[in-house]
Amino acid sequence: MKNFLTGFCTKLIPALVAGMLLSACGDDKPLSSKVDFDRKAMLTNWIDNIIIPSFDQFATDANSLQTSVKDYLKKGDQGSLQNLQNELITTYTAFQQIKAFEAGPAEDVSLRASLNTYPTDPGKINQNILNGNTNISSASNLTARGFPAMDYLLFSPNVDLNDPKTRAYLQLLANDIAALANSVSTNWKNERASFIAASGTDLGSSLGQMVNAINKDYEVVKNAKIGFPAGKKTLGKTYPEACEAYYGGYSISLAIANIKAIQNFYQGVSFDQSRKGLSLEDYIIALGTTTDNGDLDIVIDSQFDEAIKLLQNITTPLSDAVNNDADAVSDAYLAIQQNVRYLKVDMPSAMGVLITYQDNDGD
Amino acid sequence: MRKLLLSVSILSTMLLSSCGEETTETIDNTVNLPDTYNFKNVDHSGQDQRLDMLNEIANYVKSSNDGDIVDKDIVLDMLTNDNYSWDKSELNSSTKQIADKIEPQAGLTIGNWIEELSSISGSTATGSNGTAGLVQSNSGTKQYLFSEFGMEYGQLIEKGLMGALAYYQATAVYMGASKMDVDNETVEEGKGTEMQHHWDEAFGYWGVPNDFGSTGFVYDKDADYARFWAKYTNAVNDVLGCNSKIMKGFIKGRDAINRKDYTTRDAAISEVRQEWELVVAGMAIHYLNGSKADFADDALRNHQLSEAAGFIWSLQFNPETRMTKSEVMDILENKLPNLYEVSIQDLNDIINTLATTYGLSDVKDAL
Repeated sequence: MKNFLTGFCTKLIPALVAGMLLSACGDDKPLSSKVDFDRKAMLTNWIDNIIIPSFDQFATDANSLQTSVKDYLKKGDQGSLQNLQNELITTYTAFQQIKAFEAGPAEDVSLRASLNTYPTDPGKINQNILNGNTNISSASNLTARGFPAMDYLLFSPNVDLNDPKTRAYLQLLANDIAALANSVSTNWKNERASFIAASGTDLGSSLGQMVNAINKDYEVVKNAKIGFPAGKKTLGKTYPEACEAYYGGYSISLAIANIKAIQNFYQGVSFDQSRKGLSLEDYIIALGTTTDNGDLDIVIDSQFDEAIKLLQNITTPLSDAVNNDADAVSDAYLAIQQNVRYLKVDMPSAMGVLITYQDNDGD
Repeated sequence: MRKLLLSVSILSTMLLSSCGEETTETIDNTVNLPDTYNFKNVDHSGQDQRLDMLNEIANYVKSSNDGDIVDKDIVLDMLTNDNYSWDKSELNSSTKQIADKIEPQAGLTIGNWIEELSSISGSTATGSNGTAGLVQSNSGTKQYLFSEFGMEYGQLIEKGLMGALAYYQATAVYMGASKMDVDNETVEEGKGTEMQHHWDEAFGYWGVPNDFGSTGFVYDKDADYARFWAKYTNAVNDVLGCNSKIMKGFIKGRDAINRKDYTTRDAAISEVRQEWELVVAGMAIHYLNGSKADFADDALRNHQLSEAAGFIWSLQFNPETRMTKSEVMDILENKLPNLYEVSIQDLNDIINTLATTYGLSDVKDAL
């Protein structure tokens, strides 16, 4: 009951405060437009220093991955296999740095679903390999495509990489990843001007799109990366095989990279880490938003730190830890979960941004 | 040609201004239109009853998503209002029925959907590509009954009836010549003239309260009217501004009929048809966008694609449609034959076709 009331009041307070301010000012502009904050400068920082460089890096890494597959298929030795495995981890990690930006060109091709639907389906993959399937664009092939499928081919002991059809499928997967990475990277550059121009707070605005995008992705981290394997959605029944990068066992480092990318975006830190520009954090400071735990900008930032710290405490592969180090996984899950409220409720309402990604039409 | 028209209009303006008091006759009366659909002798109780029946039919067919059996004979009894006991007791004395108002050819298709639904409902089997059955969303919170091709017949039937009944009756039948070239002199108390009544019946199928879209109107999602076209018009209102545009068209047309100004009435018919059509296309794009966002979730993707398919199918019933029946069928048959097998490219192709056809390219991402 107490929790319910607390939640309700937090939701209500911004509305009450806004209402008081509005009646004092005597017009009906939303609170957020009253603050002196340069949203265009923030969008410029995002697109020039974060979004375009991180998609560029992702495309570069995806191209290297594609080359490494060719190299391995030519040489076939242990060294080139190891190199290929490392390239997969590098590219998968680069993907973690862009997957929260599923707006504009990335949203257009449903990049996250196309490249990172897991758990992957070995049965489906083997069927595609047997049939020599070269078209994997349909929804039914999402579980046989992208990084999880490559993770299976390169790290599962059940895969025979000497089989010519399997080798062809490996190349197909890498080509598919590279093609998507390059086209989305190019399209972001083409959309730079329109991204900056959409500087309002409405549904189609870049701020609205990005706030929705990072929230949706953050919930994917919470639910798909950690919550579901750890049994948080299934009354405690764990699903180790549902971990991201299950076969290679590097799920935790991917999760950390994912959250770190969202935190950097929130702070406005450039992709090369060299400088900080305007971002959500500064916007919240300008709005002066507080929560029952203190200033909202600080609460969000320290909650990111806390989540990353607790993820680092998980020292074995997540698929193992969900059963053998369950407390550490639970702690990390809770720390991730706690920021949802601040990022998804408090921050957007302070900015006058609507969270629209949940299907809310009731049927 | 444009120049010529312009000079004629300049000329006529000059003439008008030079002939003093006669100008009053050419003043556009529409500036004095009421804010709300507030006219004398308005009665659309027949439409209200049919929407109430449609509501119970939609709930019944969608109960298949809970694993319940949907009996086609019961749906048929509901459609014909024959020997069926409605939850809303007032309907049990109603003489109205839905079946005889459905666009005839569409009725056959909907009949097939009902048969298909009836044959796959009631099973607790899990559905998948190639197998009809219940499919849960990844989070486990939603469940839908899909055909072997991933189609949710419950949605198709609901959206299809919205199109082939309400939208068709309003834009094609009641706004068509057979219902508009009628008596506009003899006033029946409570119903107005025959023409006024027909217009009000078209309005009734839209299903909105009289002040919908007016200044200060606040949509109440728990109200009785929050369903069918009222609900979906409002759902795309932020992007399209359609609440007031369609309402203004209906008000303009009723006012014109009151004044026997049939040129303005015909203009209003076109406005309502075109603005309403944007709602249909806009909702299709909305659900296509949603299905892309939930692309990896069979349940959520197929559910939203079934909604989109129902709206796309409905586009054909507007006589001024910008998308012909064959174009509609081309999308449904060639792009959405199996909802488990769609690609992002397929969905983007449909979105782009709709957005280009309806001038919605700038707002397609916001829908």
